[in-house]
Amino acid sequence: MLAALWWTIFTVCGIWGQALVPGVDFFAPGMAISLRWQRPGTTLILTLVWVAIQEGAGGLAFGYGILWYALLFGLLTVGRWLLDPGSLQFQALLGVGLGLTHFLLLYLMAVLEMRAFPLGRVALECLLQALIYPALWYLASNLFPERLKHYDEPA
Amino acid sequence: MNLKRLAIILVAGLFLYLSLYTWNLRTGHLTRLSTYTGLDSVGLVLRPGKWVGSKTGGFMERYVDLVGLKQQNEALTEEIKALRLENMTLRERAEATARVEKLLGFPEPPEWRREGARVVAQRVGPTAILETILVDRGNLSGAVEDTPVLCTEGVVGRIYRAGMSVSTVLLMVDPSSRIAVVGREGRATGIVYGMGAGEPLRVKYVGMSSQVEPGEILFTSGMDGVYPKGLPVAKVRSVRRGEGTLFMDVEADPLVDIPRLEEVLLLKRADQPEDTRELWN
Repeated sequence: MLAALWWTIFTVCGIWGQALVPGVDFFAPGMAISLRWQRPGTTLILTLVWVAIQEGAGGLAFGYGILWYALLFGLLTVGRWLLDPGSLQFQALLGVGLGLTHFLLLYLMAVLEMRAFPLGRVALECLLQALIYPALWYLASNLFPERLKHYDEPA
Repeated sequence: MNLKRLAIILVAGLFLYLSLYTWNLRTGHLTRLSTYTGLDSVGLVLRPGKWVGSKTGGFMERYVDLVGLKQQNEALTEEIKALRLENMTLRERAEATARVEKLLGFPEPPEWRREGARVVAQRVGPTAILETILVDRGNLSGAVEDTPVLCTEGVVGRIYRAGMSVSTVLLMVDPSSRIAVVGREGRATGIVYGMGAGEPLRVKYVGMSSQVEPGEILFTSGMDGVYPKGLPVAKVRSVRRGEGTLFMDVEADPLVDIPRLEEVLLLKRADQPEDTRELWN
């Protein structure tokens, strides 16, 4: 019950964040937290909800969200083998990786759909993504209730 | 996990993804599903906050506006008198035009219904690559894709995706937006292309022999089948007549201040047949 409430509040705040800062994913830190502390089933449900929100509210055809969260899952999994997933340094590095991934994925999708690619705006949004991700992760992981930290997979 | 197994999983995942992507491009089922779930959830979350914001802002504005109300009242009374006079003249002209059209056997243009909508948000999420806004009207209130969206100043854009109670509006400044227009004075025809936020619009396919001057207002011509005829779109900024080309190089500014938009109007056909040609039969 507490988990459902926490993740609902997180998602609502994420939607507001995305409305205030367009072009940035506010749910990505939630995946890092969920993968570390929650059961895989919970992460899967949350990811499906976030994919639906990103795809529904966005302007591209369905497909970006799946790739985006799959790559984030890959980066988090590989990162956990090599570094401490609870360190801010690792999350900052991941933020840089996400900024670059965001740029490449948007470019790929824009080319596939033959859309114009606003280079300057997307570059700024990627920079914001890289900066906002570690800050949000730090804030959310500190606010994540201790009672819910019951599933910590060994690295 | 050995490398061979990892490679098989990656290739299988990529194959599955590409199959899903291609199938969705053809059918649009997943895009519709995410619109009805994701877009409506976003509207559900954002609308209460916007409502509280507008009520609070409205209260503050009403309080501040009390200052200088008398002078404003007098100015508005004068303006109403002038507008009434203008309205009388225009009504006479409109009735005369209608009589002439009837005499000449012009077909009745399709009827449009207007419906107000509030802007819930600008672009939302990392995939918001298009210049869009979100409005609080969807399929439930009859808004469908390609419904024209305007405000009191002119055309804003058209509905790009319609959820149950929220829709995404593609703004006229987006590079994928096209509007068929005609000049008010010179009646020069062309197509307005969006060039991105903050950039002037491009008016393409304006013939070299056409009459168009800076400052002229461009109206929808109704030739694109999306917008009805006669809606103000943009004001001509510059006209260049180049050499070795069939068309003029025309730039225009949108009449609508998009970042400040709070309310818009949706134009819906009163009776929309499946084949739009029936409207003219």
